[in-house]
Amino acid sequence: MLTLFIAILGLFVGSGVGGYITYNRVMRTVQNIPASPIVVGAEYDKDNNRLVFSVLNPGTLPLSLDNYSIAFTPGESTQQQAYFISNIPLGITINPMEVAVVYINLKKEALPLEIGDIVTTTIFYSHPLSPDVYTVVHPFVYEKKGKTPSDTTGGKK
Amino acid sequence: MRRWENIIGGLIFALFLIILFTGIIGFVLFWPRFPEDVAFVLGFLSFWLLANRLLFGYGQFINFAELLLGGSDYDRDYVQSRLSLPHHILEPLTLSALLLVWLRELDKYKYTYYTAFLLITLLSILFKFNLLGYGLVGNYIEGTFWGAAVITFIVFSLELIAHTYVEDLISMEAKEVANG
Repeated sequence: MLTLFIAILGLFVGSGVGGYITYNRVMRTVQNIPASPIVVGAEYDKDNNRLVFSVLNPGTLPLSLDNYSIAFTPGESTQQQAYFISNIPLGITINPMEVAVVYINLKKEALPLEIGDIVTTTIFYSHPLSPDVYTVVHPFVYEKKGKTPSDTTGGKK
Repeated sequence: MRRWENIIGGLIFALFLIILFTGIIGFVLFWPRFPEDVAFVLGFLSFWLLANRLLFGYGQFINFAELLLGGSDYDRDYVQSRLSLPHHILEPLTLSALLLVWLRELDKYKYTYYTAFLLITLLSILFKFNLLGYGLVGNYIEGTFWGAAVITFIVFSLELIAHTYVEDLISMEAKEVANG
């Protein structure tokens, strides 16, 4: 009986110690995993002919958005030709768990967006633990003023 | 038969020690990668230092009681020399009473140790429930607490076993008295 009691007590103590050490190791490891930025909102600013993105950094490392490129795919109602411009510098750093507003300028001499146009934006970002450059691609479909798809998969309807 | 039991028990104990020293404590002792591990090791070592008297005191007591329960002879002068009470008080006592005095002598170390452990437990609980702010040192206090908990578990088990042995010895002596 006494032995059983001591054994159960030992199990509790051991699980407590192991849980504490394992929890802290896992937390330290998880804190060093960089997250991918998420475009949580996208709108078209008609006056300045640009897109306004809200970009969230869900991780625990700061992410720096270096530059972006846009590919314009015309819809049925526009006169604008398809175009592609790349390597436009951004230089924005998003701190952990913060949302940054990113302005994506369209081509200067391009016509304003019409219903049905698709702007595919590729944002190049990097994090402090690696020299590599990663990308996040956001297809933006201009549907109606004030109502746009707001997830990274885009609303291809 | 008894010998085989001892051998198997020894093997199980050795296995337990190997698991203990390679699993949790050894892993942390020989490869402390994070400050929480260092906090655990520091708590473990400092509370070991505090409990050293208790660990060896109860260990010696349990050894002695096991010899007595096995029916072997004992040296009464050896027992009396371990105790701080004067000779004329100890002389008329029976063996069980002497052993109770022996345990009582360890009580002051025991309660000092338990007070220290209670303090670190309270501090750790206060930090854990964010009453003092968890941010800066709370996690390390908790690591110290877990290091202390390992030692406290050993002390508590030894104390329980020692008191059980005293009960066994008292009942053995009562039977001897009854048998004349």
